[in-house]
Amino acid sequence: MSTSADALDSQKTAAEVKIRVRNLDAYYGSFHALKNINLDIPSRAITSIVGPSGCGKSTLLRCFNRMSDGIRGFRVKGEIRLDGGDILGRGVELTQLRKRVGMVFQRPNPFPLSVFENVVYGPRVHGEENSRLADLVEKSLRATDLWDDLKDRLGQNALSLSAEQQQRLCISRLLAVEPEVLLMDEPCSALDPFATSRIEVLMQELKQDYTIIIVTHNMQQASRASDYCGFMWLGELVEFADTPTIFTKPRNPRTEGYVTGRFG
Amino acid sequence: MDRPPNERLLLKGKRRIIETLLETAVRSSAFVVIGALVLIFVFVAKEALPLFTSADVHKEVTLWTMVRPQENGEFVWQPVSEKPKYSILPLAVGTLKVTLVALLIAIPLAILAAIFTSEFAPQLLRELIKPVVELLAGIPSVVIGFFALMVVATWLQDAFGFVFRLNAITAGIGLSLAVIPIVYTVAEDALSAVPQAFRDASTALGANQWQTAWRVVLPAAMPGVFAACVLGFGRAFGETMIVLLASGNAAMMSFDPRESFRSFSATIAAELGEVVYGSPHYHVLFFIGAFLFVITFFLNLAGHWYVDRLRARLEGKLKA
Ligand SMILES: Nc1ncnc2c1ncn2[C@@H]1O[C@H](COP(=O)(O)OP(=O)(O)OP(=O)(O)O)[C@@H](O)[C@H]1O
Ligand SMILES: [Mg+2]
Repeated sequence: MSTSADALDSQKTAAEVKIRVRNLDAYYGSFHALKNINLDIPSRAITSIVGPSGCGKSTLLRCFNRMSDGIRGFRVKGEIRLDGGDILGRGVELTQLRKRVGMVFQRPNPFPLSVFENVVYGPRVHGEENSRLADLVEKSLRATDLWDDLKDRLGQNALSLSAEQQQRLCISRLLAVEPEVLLMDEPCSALDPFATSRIEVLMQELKQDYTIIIVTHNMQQASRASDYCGFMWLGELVEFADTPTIFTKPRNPRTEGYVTGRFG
Repeated sequence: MDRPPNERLLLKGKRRIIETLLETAVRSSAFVVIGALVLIFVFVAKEALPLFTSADVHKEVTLWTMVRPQENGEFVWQPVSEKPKYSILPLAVGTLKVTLVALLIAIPLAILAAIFTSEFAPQLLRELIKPVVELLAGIPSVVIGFFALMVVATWLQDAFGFVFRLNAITAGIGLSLAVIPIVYTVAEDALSAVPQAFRDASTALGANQWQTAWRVVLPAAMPGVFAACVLGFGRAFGETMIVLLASGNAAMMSFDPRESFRSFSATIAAELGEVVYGSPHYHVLFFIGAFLFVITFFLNLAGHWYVDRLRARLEGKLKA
């Protein structure tokens, strides 16, 4: 019983909508991975997506920057609009889309290059002038609280950093291309609890400027760190609401069962 | 702990013995290979040694006379003549000349092909290209040499009007056919070993496929690609048959790639059959052989060591 497109359209949400998803279906070959998803992602807020393994969270996330385009047999139907502009059409410039909608992966994946080269990679790819790079590096590293630790070690290979630093670096690297939306697919699953809570603090700071969508298996994380929450089940978006509602008075019994840990 | 002997444990014991035997067999065959390598080197080195120690040999040739200008200021390799001349410089120049031409052709081609197969080619094409290039490695070098001698030489002469039909360009092209598969295979392995996570990160930042290949994958695989070039160099340096057939075999002291030449390896192949056993010429040829052996051995060693290190770096660090 996912939300219908008409119901959403008539609804007057207080928050500004950053990404609008309508009647979205996705298939891996003949496997129906996303089933008629309708969703409004609010701007400058943290939206979490939860649900059991294999329910399609990553698939949904990867629709927003079209990372799955290269997968053979993958198809999408429906509509996704970013600030009202269609992003699923054929004419969409993928490099530009991904500049606006960036992604942080589950496993920290800095390039095997220096810290500096990691951060300037995106800006260089997008033709940023060399004169701005040093500033961008400082700004991006400051935004993730890495600057003080790393400012004297910018030449160091990024693979030699700790896992948390690597993940922060990946976020810095992303901020350097000045995106609008940050997609995070279980960004803390490779980190210890302390590093995890520090990343959550970081996300709170970042949401002032960015729209954040985070996939997580960690219910505490979803309830602590997100403003809105969607629960997915077997390819459907069962329920979407502000996080307190999802965790205290969900409308759907499946949602309740999952978030209270009774099944999942 | 007085338990009756367990049937299954006994069986395990038997299997254990068989396994130990097999392991010993495998291990000793590895030692046989290493032993053979050492024996070959000892043999070659022993035959080369008199060049340094024998007074008889020194009457005709020393290491010093092999590299220094001869009486008339020339560098001539003429080991069978009234007054034998043993300058190895024309051979060195010839070897370098053809190796350089071969590498200039083979390395860019092989690396571009490797980038194409690992980064751009659709699955199907990749599965076609890899075995075909690897098949190229299986062509006997005498066939490639013959092809260079008969076909490439004619084409080139028709196209550019070379004075010398057989020259370093002709031989270099033939030689590159032998080098390409090695460079390609090792470089392709190195590129494919680059974790997908790097490509994903680059793509997600808005890089296109070229930028990802050029700025992320290639640098990450650079040690392996470099090793591929080193191995290619070793192959070109030691290759005999192609050069023997297509070089013109004139030991001329000329850096011009359009002129005939003679390489170290081809010199040994051409002269060792007729040399007088134990003569200075004989020892000089073995010295050249030992020299080739050492160079190619260490190039190969360095190349493989580099590849292993790259693999460890990419995999180990990511798992941590
Ligand atoms: N490349 C693919 N080809 C075929 N099927 C796929 C592919 N990727 C995912 N799937 C299938 O699509 C479904 C949804 O996968 P997805 O990765 O989106 O799940 P998820 O909710 O992110 O799971 P997890 O919590 O384990 O990350 C799964 O059943 C999975 O088997
Ligand atoms: Mg997932």
